[in-house]
Amino acid sequence: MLLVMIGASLLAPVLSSYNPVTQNLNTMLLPPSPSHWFGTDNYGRDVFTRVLYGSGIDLRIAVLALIFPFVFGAIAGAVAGYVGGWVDVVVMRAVDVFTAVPFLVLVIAIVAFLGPGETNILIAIGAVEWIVFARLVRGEVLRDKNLEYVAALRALGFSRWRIILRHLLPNAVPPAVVFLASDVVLVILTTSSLGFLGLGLRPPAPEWGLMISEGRTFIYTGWWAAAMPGFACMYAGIAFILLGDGLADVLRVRGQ
Amino acid sequence: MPGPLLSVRNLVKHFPLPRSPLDVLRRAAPEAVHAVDGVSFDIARGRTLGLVGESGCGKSTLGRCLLRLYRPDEGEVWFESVDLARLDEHGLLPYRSRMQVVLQDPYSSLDPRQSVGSALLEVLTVHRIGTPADRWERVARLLAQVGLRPADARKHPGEFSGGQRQRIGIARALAVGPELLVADEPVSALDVSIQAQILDLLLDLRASLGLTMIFISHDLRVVRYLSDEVAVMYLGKIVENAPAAELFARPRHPYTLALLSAIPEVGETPKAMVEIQGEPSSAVHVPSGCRFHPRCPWKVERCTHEVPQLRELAPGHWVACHEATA
Amino acid sequence: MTDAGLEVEHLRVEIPTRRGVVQAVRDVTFAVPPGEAVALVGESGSGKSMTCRAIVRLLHPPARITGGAIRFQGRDLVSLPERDLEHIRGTGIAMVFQDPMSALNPVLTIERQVAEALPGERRSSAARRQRVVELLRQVGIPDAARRLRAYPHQLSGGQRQRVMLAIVLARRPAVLLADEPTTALDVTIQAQILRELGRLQRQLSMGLVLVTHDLGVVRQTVHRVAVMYAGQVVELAPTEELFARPRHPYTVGLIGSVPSVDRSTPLTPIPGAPPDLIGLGDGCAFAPRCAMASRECLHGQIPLDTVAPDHWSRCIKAHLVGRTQSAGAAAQRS
Repeated sequence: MLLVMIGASLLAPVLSSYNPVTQNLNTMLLPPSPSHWFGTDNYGRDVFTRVLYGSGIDLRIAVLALIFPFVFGAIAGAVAGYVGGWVDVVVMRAVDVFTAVPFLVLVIAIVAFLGPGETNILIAIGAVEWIVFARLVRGEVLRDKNLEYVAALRALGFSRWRIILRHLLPNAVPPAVVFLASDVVLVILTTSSLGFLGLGLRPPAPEWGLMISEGRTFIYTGWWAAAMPGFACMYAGIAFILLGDGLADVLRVRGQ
Repeated sequence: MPGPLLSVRNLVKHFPLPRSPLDVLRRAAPEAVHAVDGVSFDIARGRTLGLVGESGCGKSTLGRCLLRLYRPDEGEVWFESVDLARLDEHGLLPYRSRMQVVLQDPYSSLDPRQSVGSALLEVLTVHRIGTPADRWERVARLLAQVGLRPADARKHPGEFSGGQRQRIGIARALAVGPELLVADEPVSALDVSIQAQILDLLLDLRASLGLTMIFISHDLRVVRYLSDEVAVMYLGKIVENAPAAELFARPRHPYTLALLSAIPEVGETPKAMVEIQGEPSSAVHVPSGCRFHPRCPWKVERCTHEVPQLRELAPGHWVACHEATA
Repeated sequence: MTDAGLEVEHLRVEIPTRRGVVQAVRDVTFAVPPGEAVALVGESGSGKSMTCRAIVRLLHPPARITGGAIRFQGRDLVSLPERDLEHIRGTGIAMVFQDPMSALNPVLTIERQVAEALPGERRSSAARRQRVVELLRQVGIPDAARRLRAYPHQLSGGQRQRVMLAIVLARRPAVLLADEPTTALDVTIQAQILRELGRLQRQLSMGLVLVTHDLGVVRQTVHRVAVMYAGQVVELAPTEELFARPRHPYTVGLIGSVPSVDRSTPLTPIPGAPPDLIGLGDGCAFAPRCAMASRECLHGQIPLDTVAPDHWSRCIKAHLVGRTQSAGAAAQRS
């Protein structure tokens, strides 16, 4: 499913001869038809094309927004879990601070402060989401560090870093990766929400949330303009959750 | 004549219990689990010491202190002429390859995500043993030494049975070529027929590699099979220490007698020698005087307030009991 | 009507799994006359725990009984409706498990839990409290009266096991199934509990099925022993007879695998490992590990046969066991 999406976004220019952005007032609000599979929106733009281009944007944001929090959060969590002591206290108190405020509220606040735009969305999401991975990985590490193989490796004189990076992390990360896949859904929805609220990307970018927001006003006359991007969000969500499930199986090492 | 390989003097390790803020306010005395409370013994090179006791006696903690997985609170651990208790992590590094450990649980003693071969290879690499070119060959030889096949190197721990995993753990310990091997209940989690296989493996390896061993177990029968000397522990102290044959033939401490009479024997039923009641006392609130006195059938008044010291009642046979006689 | 106690005949238990059908119990036959103690001895995977659970029909699905008969006091338990079976559980046949912590309710005091098991009306009263104290004293808990208000986590492993015993004995069962009751305990506590168990068993004339992997425990506690391997009983005999004249290579191997403080003769470990219980075919399951195996051992269903009065073995070469066995084992060692 995901491959379809990725393919669609990459091949958008090829798949559609329409330009996603230029307006054509002659073709306003046409219902879905063979020449416009998803119909057109109030500016005459082909909705299908816009959804395709939008998939590229949302996917890109989703991936970029999560790489940093994942890596940083995982390492922070692992170190906090293994070393304990004041490092753990510092990291966990930071986590507490971010947990105190609901995710979306925090992201909105940051974006409102920094201003709309893609980079700022990435920063906002990254700054808030790392705690989730930190907590996950820390939990796994806390549990694993009492397993006997860690004691054996310590007795063998392996350095702390070697134990954390080459042994504990690879064992703690798979659950985090699975979570990552479903987190993408959250990011897409957040981006769309931000777009809906007018805080995300600016028009005329074909971002799904933006499209839903714009299409909201004429939902009775041209429901497809808002509904199609909505379906696209749903599709993306399902695709990523399935990916997460598949990842869990793939990452399981023989014998586990 | 060279001195003992390992010499332990007055080793102490306590684990403080967490105190709630209320305790601090009430100025309650800090409490600790007295896991190891003044243990001393020697092991000569090439000999095997069996450390025996029931749960809570401190034998595992003692083993980990020797390997410096815990830092002793007090006491000395002389490895040849160096006191390991004084060294920091950096100073310990060269000694880490001279003493190794085999642990109890075959299911958690190996990294589940690492193939067996790469785990062994990693040990060799970290300790810079051999050259990159010949390391895989060494891995194959290690596996063969413990009764596995070189082809097993590609597999992951989950693909092996419990007994095989213990063999891998032993191979990992031997990879660095240690002189001292601490085995902490290495067969307790295994089925009886597999236990016997692993015990024989340890016996063979010990002979062919000239290992000095500390064998920790709660099972006296297993300890008897492998040990030259046996030390019996109770609530953090050694109560009896003697050559194996002597200890089993002429046990002197009432706790040792109780342990021996409690063993379910496959051989002819032994006469019931000593029956003790009750449970071991808490390791936090240790009984005054002799720690065994609440359960001891030989108890006299002296035992409740005077701590018995280890006395040599027969050559090489040390007993910590006021009432024991030669 | 004579009370024939507990009889198990040709019991089969299977567990369908993704990989295939696990034949956990393949052919188990033994009997527990009233007042007698029988041990089921075997290593992990032998099917001994499954057998106990099958007797009281407490198998975790998808495990299920697929063959054989279980008779208690003349009634067949396999086909008994659940409601009738509930009456039998506890009063007729009771079970004690290995891990007392998970068997006791952590939020109830031990007085409550023992009292709950007492037959009669469920009102708390001085008489019931007396009975609880009596029971606790019977199982060897010191200071029983003061322990009534304790919770399970405040007791040690040995004490919890004794409380379990008290709960179970409150209903005076005719048969007690004890699944590795002392495995998790220290050796001195184990000795105490086994002594109590033996004493109670004799006092109450209770049938006892003791499941264990420890041959030593068996020798001092039971009248008869059933040795299990790969889901089958491979040898069945009175205790002393089994140890004096074992008639199955696995039994011999098992005895030879246990070190003893009395001797430091070499152990004779059994090579190899127990078989996979999925897709076990014909022939003797122990053959791959047996020093005496030959072609005839690999075919057909080998039944449990009488090899001496009251002594059964599932080995077609039972008459050779004991003599050639030690020779073969000695050859193995050198």
